[in-house]
Amino acid sequence: MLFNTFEFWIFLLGVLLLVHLLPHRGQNRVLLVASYLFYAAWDWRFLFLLFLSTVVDFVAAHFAGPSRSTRTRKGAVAISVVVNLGILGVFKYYDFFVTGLCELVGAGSTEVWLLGVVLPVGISFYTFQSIGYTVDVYRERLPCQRSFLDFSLYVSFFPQLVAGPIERAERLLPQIEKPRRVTAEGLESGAWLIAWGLFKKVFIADALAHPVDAVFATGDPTGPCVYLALVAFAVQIYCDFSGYTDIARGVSRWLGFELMENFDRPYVAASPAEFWRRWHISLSTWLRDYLYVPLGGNRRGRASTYRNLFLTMVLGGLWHGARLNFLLWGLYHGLLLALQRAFLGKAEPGATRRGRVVGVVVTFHLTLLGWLLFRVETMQQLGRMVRGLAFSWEFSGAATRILITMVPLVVPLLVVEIVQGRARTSEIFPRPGWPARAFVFGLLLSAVLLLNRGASTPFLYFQF
Amino acid sequence: MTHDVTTTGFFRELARFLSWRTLPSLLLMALALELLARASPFLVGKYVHQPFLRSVRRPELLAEPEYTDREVTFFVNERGARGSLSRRGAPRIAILGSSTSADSQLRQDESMGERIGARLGGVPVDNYASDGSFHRETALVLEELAGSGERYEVAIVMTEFHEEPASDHERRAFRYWGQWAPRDGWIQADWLLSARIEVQVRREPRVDGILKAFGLIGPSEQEGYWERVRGERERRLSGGIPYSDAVPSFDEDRVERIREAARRIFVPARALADEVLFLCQPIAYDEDELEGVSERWCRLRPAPDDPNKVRSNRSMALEVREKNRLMAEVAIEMGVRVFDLDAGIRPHLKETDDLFYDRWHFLPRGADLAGRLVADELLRVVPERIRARILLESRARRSP
Repeated sequence: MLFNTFEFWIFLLGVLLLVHLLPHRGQNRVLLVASYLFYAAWDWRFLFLLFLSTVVDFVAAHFAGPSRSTRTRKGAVAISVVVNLGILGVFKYYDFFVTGLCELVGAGSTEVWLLGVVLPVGISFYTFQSIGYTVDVYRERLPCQRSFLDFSLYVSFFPQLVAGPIERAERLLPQIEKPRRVTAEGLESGAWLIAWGLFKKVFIADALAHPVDAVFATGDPTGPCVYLALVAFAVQIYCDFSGYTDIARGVSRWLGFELMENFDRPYVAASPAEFWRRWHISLSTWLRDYLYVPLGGNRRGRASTYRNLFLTMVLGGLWHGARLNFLLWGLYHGLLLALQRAFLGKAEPGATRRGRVVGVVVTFHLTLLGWLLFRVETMQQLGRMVRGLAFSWEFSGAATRILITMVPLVVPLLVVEIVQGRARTSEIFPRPGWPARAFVFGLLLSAVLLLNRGASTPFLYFQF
Repeated sequence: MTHDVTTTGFFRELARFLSWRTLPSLLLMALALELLARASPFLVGKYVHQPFLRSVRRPELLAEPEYTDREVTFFVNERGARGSLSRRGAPRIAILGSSTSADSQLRQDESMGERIGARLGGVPVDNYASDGSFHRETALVLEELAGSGERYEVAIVMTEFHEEPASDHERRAFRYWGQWAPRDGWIQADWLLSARIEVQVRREPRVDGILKAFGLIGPSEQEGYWERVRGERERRLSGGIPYSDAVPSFDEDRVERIREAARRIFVPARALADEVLFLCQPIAYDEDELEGVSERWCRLRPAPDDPNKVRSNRSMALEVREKNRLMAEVAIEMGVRVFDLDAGIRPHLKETDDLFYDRWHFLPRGADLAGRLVADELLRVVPERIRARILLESRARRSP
């Protein structure tokens, strides 16, 4: 059930009516059932994984609290990590590693060893969210949850179940436990988030997917085509993923919840480190708090810091999927972060206006190279793209057409983000009076309805 | 816990939106919708030029009962044609026509266009043919292309003459080629799509416009077009269908309509390319086949002599061949080269059943055979000047 399908909005209408008619405990029960139904709409067979992850962490957290012995607590955390990563390992990585291993030892056909299971939607998001809760209880940052119903809702809350943000228990659980209030302002800002999210997904991301896919599918792309396709992909993946997050946040506001912001205008980052503070914030902070810091962070000398950066980013890359290109993407970003630390230390290249502009331009282009690694499906494709970028700089009609396609799609995004940046707000259309707001709101929804390019396409991050 | 009596206050807060501003706000939103609906045809372009389309052909949408096991995704280039992105200075071949030319249900690497290009050493082939279209769509696309200033070394045309109201085809050409066609607004007039359509189609305010806007139903001109005819497969398998070999009559009027359709195609084709090659539509039927049998055609069609019977293979084949002959006659009169692909493929029908999936749409092996035959014909008949350019490109592509 995609956010950009009619079925979802019918489903949401039913959930809204039921939830807001009921008292608090009833609301949570309805939301839990709705969340499981939402997930079952993808594939009911994988509900048991969601339930397994929920049960394991609910129980593990009871043994990870401060009242238990250190050994028991560590054992509980270990069980949580092993079970959740085990689920991920089997369903997401097993085939990848078996294939790689068989190729390494020259075992010939790998068919008999492969499971060939479909990747359960959202598995990377809810397993990380579950693990985070148990570790937080172990670290005594929050008490153990007593209500299985509330905890189940925390793991499965449908607006953010399949593509995040990966919410922290300390933020989301209190909102589940306590009665929620909905305000007129929350309803309005939620509507804006939903309209803007849909616009970004349907109008911008889905339209940009066409030239990007065409260039990546072509046998001998020219340099300008590859470069423009990478720029288009950068905008596409940002609008696709942040569009999902905006819709999730808007829907949550309608339900009385406040989810974290997952993006903060990432392409104005002036350094790779800043990029990761602005891009997929819930994952990058999760990796920082539950992986980089426990590994030692930057506290144990240079070599250890670089190792930790590489490890964190490689695992962050592999989190996206069991493919060589994600591994390379993680390595590449680990390298960028290590280089930044080696040459700039903790200084950021944004001290002066000129430094910031240069930093933004350089970081954006470094990010583009990263997106090339992220987007390719085979190493042969990577070779073709790199060859085009390096050796084939003739400006063809195709490049012009990509540019013509991109400009009208990117302009609305730029306008909104510039306004947001200047006003220092995440509101979509903050200042004008109600007539202008009503008109622009109508335009956003109309563009989604009238100018979409056909059938609903899944959000890119659903595959992770 | 005492939370059980607490609700969110959603409905009370929602009621706060109901003020004197509500109605003007809704009107402004409707105005925005209408403005965008009116502007959208100009924003997304018309006819052919929908660049970078990603098209997915799903078997369940098709009527063919015998070929249901694959989903095919293909891309079009910046000119709205199925083929690779452009390279400056390279000679190019264009293919125009209906579903057989469009390589319906074939991957790009299996397609006839790709096989022609490969046989000629890597010459880019732009395939503008579209699935579900006929001679009128082919003419519209050709006129659009020729008018846009595009030029090709060779244009290959293979299309079917089909008698339906012109307006259906004009709208369909827009829809199919556009794919990114703006959907109807509540008040938007269809005539905004095209001046030509203005003459043919009048808009009426209607409920299905709203349903379409929400994607609940597809564009009406597709309805019934792609849908399977219920029970057809069962009827066919039951063996209880009476067949007729009768062929619809080719009276003077009909012959003239076919000739006129051919003229409408070949005039812009000649403006588009230095050399035009008309291909006679191949069909998997040879004269040794039994009379009165029908199988593996796209769908059963009523016989012209008896509405209680359906048309046999022979009936279909003879009609197609007669239409081929009439169009080829006009082609020759207009100086367009003709290649009888049907005759070229016929000897191979005895060797294998793997050339067509429904007797006139190619399987990969059929597309490969057709590609080889057409490429060889091109190398044989096109003038030396064009052949030299193609071979030069071929050598350039082979060298590192």
